[in-house]
Amino acid sequence: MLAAIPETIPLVWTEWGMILVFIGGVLYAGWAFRKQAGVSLDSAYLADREVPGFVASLSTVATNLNINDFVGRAGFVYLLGMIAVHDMVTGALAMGFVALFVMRQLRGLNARTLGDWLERRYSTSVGVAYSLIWVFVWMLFNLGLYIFGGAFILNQLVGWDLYWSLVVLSVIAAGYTLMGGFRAVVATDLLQLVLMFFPMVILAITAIVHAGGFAAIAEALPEGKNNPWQWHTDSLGSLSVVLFGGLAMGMSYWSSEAQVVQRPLSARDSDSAIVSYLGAAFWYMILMPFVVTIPALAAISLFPDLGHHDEAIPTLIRHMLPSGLYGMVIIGMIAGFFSSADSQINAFCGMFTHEIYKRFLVPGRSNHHYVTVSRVAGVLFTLAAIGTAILVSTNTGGMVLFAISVLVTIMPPFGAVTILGCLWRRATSAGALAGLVVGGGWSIGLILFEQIVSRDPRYEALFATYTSMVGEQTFNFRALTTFLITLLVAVGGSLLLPGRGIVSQTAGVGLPRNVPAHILSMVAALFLGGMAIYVFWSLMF
Amino acid sequence: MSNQPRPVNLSPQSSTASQKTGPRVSLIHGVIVTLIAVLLLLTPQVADIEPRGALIDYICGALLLLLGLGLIALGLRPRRGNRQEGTPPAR
Repeated sequence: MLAAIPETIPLVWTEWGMILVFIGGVLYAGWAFRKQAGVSLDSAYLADREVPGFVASLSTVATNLNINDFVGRAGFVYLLGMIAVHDMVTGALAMGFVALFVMRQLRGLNARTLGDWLERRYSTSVGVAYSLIWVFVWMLFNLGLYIFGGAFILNQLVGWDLYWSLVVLSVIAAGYTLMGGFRAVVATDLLQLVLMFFPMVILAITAIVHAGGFAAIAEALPEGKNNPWQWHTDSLGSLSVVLFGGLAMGMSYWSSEAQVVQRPLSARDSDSAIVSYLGAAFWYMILMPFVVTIPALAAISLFPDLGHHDEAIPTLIRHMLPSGLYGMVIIGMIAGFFSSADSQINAFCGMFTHEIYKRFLVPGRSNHHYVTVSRVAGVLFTLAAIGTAILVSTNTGGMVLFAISVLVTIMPPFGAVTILGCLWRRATSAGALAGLVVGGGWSIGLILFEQIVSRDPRYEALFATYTSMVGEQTFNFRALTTFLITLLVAVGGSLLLPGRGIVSQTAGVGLPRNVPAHILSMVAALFLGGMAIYVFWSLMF
Repeated sequence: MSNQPRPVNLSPQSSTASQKTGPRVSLIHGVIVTLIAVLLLLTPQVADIEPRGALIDYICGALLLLLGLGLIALGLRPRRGNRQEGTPPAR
């Protein structure tokens, strides 16, 4: 949830110049790749599966970093303190698990999208259910949130008009994405990653220096925010719910989010796909704490009385960065918006055209026809997302919470079914469908239960007991239980319900065989990095 | 809606031809980063900044400039696929 920021700082002409150079550059990249993107859907949406592993890795990081991370995640740390450090580690662990145990099977069916994979692995019903939910519900809503978040922060930091920013940023993102396809998206992701991280690293160093070093930051943390291993918080519930809920959500996200899975699917081969996730996990585990967690903890020390926790990073930016670097931060914020929005637009175009239009509406036409249709669909999708963003702007708090609710409702069931389909040969379509229905129903049932019980005074004691167990923010608990219930029902359904038995020769649980040395090195580095991070937190804080 | 799985098409992955003929990403990135670095280096001249802030801008601008020029140099190197037979690889 983004809070109002009281001041804006006008830009000097060199800062305007930087912004124009950056926007001109990404538009040029889209134009430069226009010929390759126009060849076929595989060119436009998977870059002909030519993307090297490390490039896919950086693109994965860029796609997942946006203003919600730099502002919202930092605000989360400012609000809750050290307990929030587990979020990135559980996310990185989940990425490592998906990379090592799921990725080869995901690549094994040569699918273009996850909907395509689910269809090949299970059945048309499962694949189409995923495609419809993602294309018409989640992607539209998610892009609307990205657009609103990007325009809002620029409105607050620089004073740009919210609605003009909505439209202009969206048109630019759609412009280079639809011109240059996935190659342009990946190419600009790399640039955007550098321009996002560079000012944030400088901000982190400046904040640490201003706060007097790590020891001073640690000493300034108030009771309740200074212990990453505290067993219980009012907001998040017990530590086990935080850790295992985060892990379940991470495994669901990294195995079922369309724009994320698109990266390893576009990689050159299975090993490159694994590298793409392991590399991104490393970035998340090591760099994100440095550029997000530590500045947010420094903000607790430097600005303990902020009106809203989401003001932590914007306040640091205003007070610590001089003109010039301030302009770089604005570019970083725009880059954060572009890197997420372009991926969403590109993934939508690919999924809609391939999974819905080509399969069910107009099959058997030329590549040129489908590429043209995908571009038109992308324009309409962007316009609809702008409308969603305007809707979000009228009710930010409720809509953002609603978005998280949607995320926690749809991702764990599909994530569980995807992982099960990769690890267990006997998982069947009937089992998967049963798991999706019961898991989704459980999550929606929990929402209804919370809504009814929290509003009715007769159930006050019951609701207090419930929140004392699972936390006031029930997302982690919902993600964990939904994931587990989906898994259990899918396994039971596969064993008991009539349907196909063994449908996949590629699926199977067990340690991956013939792992190349560079992947083993990355796994070792990831493990040591995770240990080092926890040692660092324990020694310094 | 059929519940039968679609046949698995394990067609070979496409060639890397476009890598040999497509735009040079490093060069594009290098030019953009270099221009931004130059503008960052100019900012202390046109804005009212205290000396400490100007120093930070100069250091960051210099780092970005190095990165940008490095990327341009990388982008100007001949591509492997375009090298003539017998030509030794660039070092």
